[in-house]
Amino acid sequence: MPQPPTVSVSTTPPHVEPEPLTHYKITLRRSAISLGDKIKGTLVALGLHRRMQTVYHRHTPEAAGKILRVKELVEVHNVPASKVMTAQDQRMDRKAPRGYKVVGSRMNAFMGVGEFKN
Amino acid sequence: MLARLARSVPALCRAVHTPPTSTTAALELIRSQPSHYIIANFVGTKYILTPRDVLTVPRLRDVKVGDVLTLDEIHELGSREYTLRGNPTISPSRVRVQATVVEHTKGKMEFIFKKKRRKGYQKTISHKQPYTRLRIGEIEIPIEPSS
Repeated sequence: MPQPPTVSVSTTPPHVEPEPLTHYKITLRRSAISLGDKIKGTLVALGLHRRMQTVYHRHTPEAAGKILRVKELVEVHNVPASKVMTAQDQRMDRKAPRGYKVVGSRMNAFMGVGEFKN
Repeated sequence: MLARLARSVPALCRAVHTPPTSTTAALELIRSQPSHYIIANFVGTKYILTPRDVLTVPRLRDVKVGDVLTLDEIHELGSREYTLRGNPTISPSRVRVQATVVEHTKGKMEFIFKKKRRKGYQKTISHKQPYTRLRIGEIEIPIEPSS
């Protein structure tokens, strides 16, 4: 008697499309001191003013050309649009958490008189 | 007999110093000791704090005198013989520390003197650095982890 076909069901997570990498994350690793005005101008055009500064540029032939001009000084990664951070975003990212939360006030309670307002 | 005792001392030490298996057991050990300390991250800097300390930090502009603050980021809690290290912080349900703002002060007067010689330029800047002082309250280790 022919056996019924056995169907093995494997649970695999649904395939999620990876986000398209649309931007260059450019970090200046080496300084352009004594390299001349043209290379300094290229860095300024990219928005890089100091070492270890990070800027984000969309994938365009213009941005690619500028990076190629200063490729020895710069570290580049491809990132999706969701990872793009403005200078202010980067600053907030670096900020340490406060570490405290205001819970109440003791101004009404002093020397055993009044109560601690929560 | 003395030699036998001497041989069993390392084994006894090992028995006393086996690490506890759960956070509750570790906190029990710490709570059994009379005095405790914490290492807390306060506005980006780590301080070793004990109850009744006065902590002086750069001026906090969003806080008034008399305000009571809970310390959220506690990295380590310890006593004389035991330490509990967080990963990276200990949950606030396990340890509770409060601090009261005592005063907003300024430091002593500093005089900054600037001069460029032979140019007729000199100036004196007087400056007092603003600080905030906090009194650290008791370190509470609740028996049942509160929400």
